Amino acid sequence: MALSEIELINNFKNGDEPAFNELVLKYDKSVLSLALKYVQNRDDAKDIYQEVFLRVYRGLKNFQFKSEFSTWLYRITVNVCLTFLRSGKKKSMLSLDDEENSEPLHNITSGSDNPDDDFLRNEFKDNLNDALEKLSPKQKMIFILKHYEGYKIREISQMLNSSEGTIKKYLFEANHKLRGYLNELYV
Amino acid sequence: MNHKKYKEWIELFFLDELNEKEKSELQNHLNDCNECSAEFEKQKKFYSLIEKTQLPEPDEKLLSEARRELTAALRVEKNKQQSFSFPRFNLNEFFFSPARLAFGGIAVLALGILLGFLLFNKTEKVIALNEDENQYTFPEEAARITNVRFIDSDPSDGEIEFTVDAVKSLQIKGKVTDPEIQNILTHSILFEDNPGVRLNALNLINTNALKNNDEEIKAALINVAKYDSNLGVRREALKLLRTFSFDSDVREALLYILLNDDNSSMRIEAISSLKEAGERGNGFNQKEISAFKEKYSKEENDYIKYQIKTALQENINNEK
Repeated sequence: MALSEIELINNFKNGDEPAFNELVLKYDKSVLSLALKYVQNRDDAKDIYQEVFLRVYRGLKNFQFKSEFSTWLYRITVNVCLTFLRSGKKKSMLSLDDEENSEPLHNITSGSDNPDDDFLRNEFKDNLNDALEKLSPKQKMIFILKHYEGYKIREISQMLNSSEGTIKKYLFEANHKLRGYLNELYV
Repeated sequence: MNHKKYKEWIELFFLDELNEKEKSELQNHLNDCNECSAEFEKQKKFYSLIEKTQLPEPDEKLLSEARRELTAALRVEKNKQQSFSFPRFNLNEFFFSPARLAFGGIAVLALGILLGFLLFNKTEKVIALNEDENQYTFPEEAARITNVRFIDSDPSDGEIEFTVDAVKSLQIKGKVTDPEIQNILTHSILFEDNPGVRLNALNLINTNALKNNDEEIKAALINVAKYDSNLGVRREALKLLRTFSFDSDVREALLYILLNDDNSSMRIEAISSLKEAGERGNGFNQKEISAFKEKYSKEENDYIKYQIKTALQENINNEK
């Protein structure tokens, strides 16, 4: 029977190293997913993934269960992403023609029988990527957490340790900027 | 009319952050207000475009690479945690400021010679620290010092700070079937830096520990077979894993290796194990069948393709 998260954390605190691996496997795909969406570069996403779990490894022994483990983990992920972008470590954006990117363009965008629709959607995606780059790191993160990871404003506020009002403000600003940027083309 | 409030609510509506009562109030307002209705339509177009556009998701290859790299990084981290930081040597109390710089320089030099001696002397002299900040002593038995990393090498204030790795050898003797020994071996296959050591530990587990069919060893072997960066180590772990009963953990690990391992010999080993299990009456579940089919369409190695195809055919025959 699978151990609960609390049991895994306590076991790790008592020196059971494999318990940490189980925790990693439980959450690592979503950490990598957020990182990839945020930096849009596979190598950068891997760097962030690694840094997040190293920080978790270092900090888990002192984890006091004051928040959910997942909230703590995503808070670390968000912080590492934000720091990563500020630190200038970022490599180039994910190229849609990049051979390394094994997920082809037609899979990234929703498929359609109409080539015109696909073309417009792909064009929009390129423009959206450009527009996302114009947001501040925090605006971009909040936008992705809300629109592409499906979190509620309340959950994002816990992750970022900010009030719901502040998150709303960032989100509205991000939406406003994006609409402004994309307005002439699409709206 | 409070357009500002309703314009905010329009945003919140598309963000799915309004409750039913608010939605209804907004709807009533939109029915009466052209300005807000126009805003609603504008935002609707924008959000429908956003909804239709997906950002990249990590594929299994990326996830697998990230996991392997993390395993290696955790190994390094584990070793690092055995190091400790020397306390700051507070020389301020001993020197007047005009002489501080010169004496600081001498202190660094002396320390360098000392560490050089400790590092390269074959008799492995060791150093241990006294809790008192201003003293350090060299007892007869302590740890070997390696990997000196200066945090503050500027002696101008009379102080320097650095960390070292203090490695202490322990000689352990015991029965290979002893749970403590097995724990150390399991730990070694997961966290030892040197792949040769990991391989040795696997061999020891191979000959001695498997009789117990221990769950922890199985979990460690699965981890190593899936994520170890060294092919030889992965292969040995997979070989050992095949001696375990074919339960859901092992099945899942074999399937993961078949789908994700870069090396064809690992994939061959994985599909062979899955096939053997199928022949022993362990039919494939729907998830495995779908994965086989998907892998069949992507696999470049003809032999593996053939094995997948026959595994699927045999599964159909067994079900009849």
